[in-house]
Amino acid sequence: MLRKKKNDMSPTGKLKLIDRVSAINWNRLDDDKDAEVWDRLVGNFWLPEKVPVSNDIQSWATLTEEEKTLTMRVFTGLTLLDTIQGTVGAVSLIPDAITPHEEAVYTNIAFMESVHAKSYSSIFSTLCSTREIDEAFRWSEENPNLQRKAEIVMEYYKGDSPLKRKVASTLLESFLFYSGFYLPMYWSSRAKLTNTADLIRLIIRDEAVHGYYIGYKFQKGLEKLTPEERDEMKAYTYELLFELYENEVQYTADLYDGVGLTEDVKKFLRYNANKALMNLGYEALFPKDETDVNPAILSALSPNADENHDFFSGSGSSYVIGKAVNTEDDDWDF
Amino acid sequence: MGSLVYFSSASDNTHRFVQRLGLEDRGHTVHRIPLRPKDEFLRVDEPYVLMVPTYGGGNEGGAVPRQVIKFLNDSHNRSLIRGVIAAGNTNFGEAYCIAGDIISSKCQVPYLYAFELLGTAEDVERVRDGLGRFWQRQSRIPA
Repeated sequence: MLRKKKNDMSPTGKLKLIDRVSAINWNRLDDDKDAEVWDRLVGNFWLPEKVPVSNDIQSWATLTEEEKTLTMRVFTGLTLLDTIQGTVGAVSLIPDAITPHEEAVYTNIAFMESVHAKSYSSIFSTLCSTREIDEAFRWSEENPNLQRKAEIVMEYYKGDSPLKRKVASTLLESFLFYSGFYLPMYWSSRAKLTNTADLIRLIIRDEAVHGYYIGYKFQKGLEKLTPEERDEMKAYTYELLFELYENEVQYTADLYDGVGLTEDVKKFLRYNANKALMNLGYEALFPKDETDVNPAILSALSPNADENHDFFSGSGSSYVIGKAVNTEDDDWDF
Repeated sequence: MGSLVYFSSASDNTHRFVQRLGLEDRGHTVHRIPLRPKDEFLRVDEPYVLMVPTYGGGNEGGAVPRQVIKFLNDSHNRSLIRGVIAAGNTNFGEAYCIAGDIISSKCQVPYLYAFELLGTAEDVERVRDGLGRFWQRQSRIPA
């Protein structure tokens, strides 16, 4: 585990991270959640080369120029967020870690974010020309709302509060990506760019584990605060969410007004904002009628989600038993 | 009166959902499946609805927490299950709330409800009312 002294700078002016080092012992866990999440992340490991994005070349050709430009801009925006999270966000959490295993999980998260960032490049190189790619990257560097989103988060990553850093990180993982994730789900629901959507679903799955884990560590940290400090942290979280949401609404309009999807995307934003709050242990903010995500999008995300598992609302005469599933839980012995 | 058995990891997500249901105030028994192998094994003696989180699906299976498998591997416990409610996250795609499908199909009981993460206020209300009605009907079924 890296022990960091506060404000300890080496003579060269670089931050000195290590005071002393002890070797990580996975046989002595302070928090079982670290090993559980590590195993989950390792089990979910993937690389973009395994997804046959080149099968989308024909489908890409059916998009209009405006739709292509939108798609590339969305992906450069996502690349930017994954770059931040891989090289700054997840890394900035390491010195705050309570256990050596928590540090190890963050290194895994950081690496996977870099895999995600690289995945977009592999989509680009498969589907688009160099000129188109360069133009999309230029747009992402010049779009004030995208840059603002990055700035807000970076500010907290550089700040001096470990808990606020975790809030910013969880909001990034569980909320800020979704203005972008909407589009591949939309294309998939219209049977377009379906292999690209498969790749994005792998990213979405990873972000869920990241948001869950960082949110969990945030809640562990909250336990050590006084009730007043906890209230303050809660107020801060909702304020930051509002600030990011306002910005996200404008960013969404910049991207989607041209194709008339802005309102539909905003429902998806609010739905995911609620989930980000829940990952931090807080209650959902946006009411049901503002988070009624287009069923086609929800179904592209999770084919089971629209099978309304609500036995209670039925008449009581139906008796639905779950469909047979192939389970891989070989330790069931009945 | 029916009872509820649930599992919640150290994140306490499902635990908090159960607390919001306020079932004990309504005269129902609530049991939590123990977190660690060395904790005392839970054995139940009345019919129950099982509530479980789905572990982040993916390449590895393992969607049903192993503590829940251990609980259900006890044939006496298994004989008393009447329904299942699962929590999950749509981010896991096809594996969303799949612990409910697995348990429902293995134990041949209805899959009553699925919700995401901590559940919304609507989820709490629907499960609270739904469980009340479900248990009322169950109590009319001769043993």
